Amino acid sequence: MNYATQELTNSLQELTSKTERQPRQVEQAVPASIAANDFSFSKEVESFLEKTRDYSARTRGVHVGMY
Amino acid sequence: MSFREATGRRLDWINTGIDQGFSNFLFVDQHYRSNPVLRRIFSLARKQNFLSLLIEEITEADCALLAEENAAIRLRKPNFANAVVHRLSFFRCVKDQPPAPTDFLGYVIFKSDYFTGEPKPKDYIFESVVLPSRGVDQNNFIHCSKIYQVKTTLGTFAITGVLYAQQNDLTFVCAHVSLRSALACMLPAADVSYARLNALAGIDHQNRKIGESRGILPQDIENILNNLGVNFEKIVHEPRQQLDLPTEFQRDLYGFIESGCPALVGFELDEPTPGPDGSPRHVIPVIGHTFNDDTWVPDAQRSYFGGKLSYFPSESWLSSYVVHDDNFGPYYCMPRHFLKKDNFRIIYGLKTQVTPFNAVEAEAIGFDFFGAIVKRFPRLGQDWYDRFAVFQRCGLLVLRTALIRKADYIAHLQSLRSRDYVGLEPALVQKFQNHLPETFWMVEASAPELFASSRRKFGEILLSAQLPVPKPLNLSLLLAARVPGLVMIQQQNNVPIDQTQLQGHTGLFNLQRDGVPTGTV
Repeated sequence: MNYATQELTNSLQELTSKTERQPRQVEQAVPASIAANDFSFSKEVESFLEKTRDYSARTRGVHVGMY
Repeated sequence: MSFREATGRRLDWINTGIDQGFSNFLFVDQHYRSNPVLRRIFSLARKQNFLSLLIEEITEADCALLAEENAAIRLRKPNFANAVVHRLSFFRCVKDQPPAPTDFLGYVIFKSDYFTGEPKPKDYIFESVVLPSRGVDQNNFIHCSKIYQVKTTLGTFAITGVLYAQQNDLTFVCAHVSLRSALACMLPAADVSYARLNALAGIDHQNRKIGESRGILPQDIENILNNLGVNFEKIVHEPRQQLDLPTEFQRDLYGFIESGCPALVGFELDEPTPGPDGSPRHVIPVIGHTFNDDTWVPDAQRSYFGGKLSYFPSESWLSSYVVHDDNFGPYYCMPRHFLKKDNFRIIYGLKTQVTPFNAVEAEAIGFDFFGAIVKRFPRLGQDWYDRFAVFQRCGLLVLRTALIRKADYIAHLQSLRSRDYVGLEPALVQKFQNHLPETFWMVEASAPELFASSRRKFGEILLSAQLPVPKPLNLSLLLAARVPGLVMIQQQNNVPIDQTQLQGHTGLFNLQRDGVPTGTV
């Protein structure tokens, strides 16, 4: 079992034991709305997007071979 | 007038049941010079238990398209003498029994071009539409079929499938037939002539000739698509030009297919002695995919082979792409990863609209938004939201991305039910109706077992298909999100949150084509 699967198993077991101990109740109050700056995004996704954008721009005018 | 509308002259109507002693091999050997592609099509008809075959001859007098094609060949090859064309129609009923509409299994236009001074004619399948032998029940998903009406001497019949064609290597080549199959899926007329394609590419068969080892250029393909008003996206991998695709091309390909559109895939052949420009190239249309509920790949890829992904792309459950290959026939399965990146060169993915970023990028953005939601709401005390959050935190969500239309999504929302039969409140559906644009990206989130076995999900993120990706990434691309118990619809940089009674998992989006569902994955 890899780390992610082990972590998933533990977390699901934790949820299950909580449910068995006591009836479920809302653990976090849900606000009426979230402001834009309440969301945070990852640098990895940004850098992935930058890489794909750059490559797409570089190859837009590339025409090689015959089909 | 097309070959489907032409009034043919009946040559014969024969029984083809195995109990009647009919042999596909013998028939094709005796009457059609052992043509291998025709044999493939007959084998597809056999899988559908065809019991009779109608053979009709079509002449130039019956069919303007035939006259046009022959004129082009005559220009290209002045020793062209004449063509013989047979339309072969497959039926599930026996000879002399009036066919019911469901008895029609498809047709083939077999064309033989005769040239003065050449001992044998040049035979090829000018076109064919036959029923795919596997469907959704067999985990085959062909999202871009069309319905074709075929007028025969037994009556007019409808057939649903993807148009197949073979090159004649004189006036049309592999790129033409691939374009014709792909365009047939996109154009309202569901077909386009080679004369039109050549006119758009500036090929007149005199000043510019094709065939006999001369293909068409990528610029020609782009000119044709642009002139026909068909949107497309190009994925290029040209290692000799130091252009190495940074992503896995199969993911890009899947993004087009899963959005219900066909794609052209071009590759370089393996040649022992390639020329300075590399080996010859070939292009085929990709029209669908198969799915394997029990595939080992997603888990094994991550656990054993160093995959560092933080989610499972739904493409991991794909077994094969469904393709036509003009060299071999229709509806072949090309196993995922059979075509290596070393040989892969180009994808032209057709699209219903231009988008500033593609499916792979949309999925990465969707992944980030799911992460942002879970960071903001780590736990709600609701079973399925909390499971969703756990799968997200562990990097074990399954994500599936498609470009979809608002009308289809609203119908999807209206049909959603949890396992305890709770649906989304009509007032919330109306909110989506009021706020969504006509087309957008949808990134569905599920868990491996929920996705593959039950074809169900936790929810989905909807992203703009009009706005470019902001730098740095911010909320502007988010249109809406729906996860167990919560609905969020963005309004001017603020995201109001509605709570819903729909707190369980729900069915995956079911792609529709011409109002007909074409499968869940």
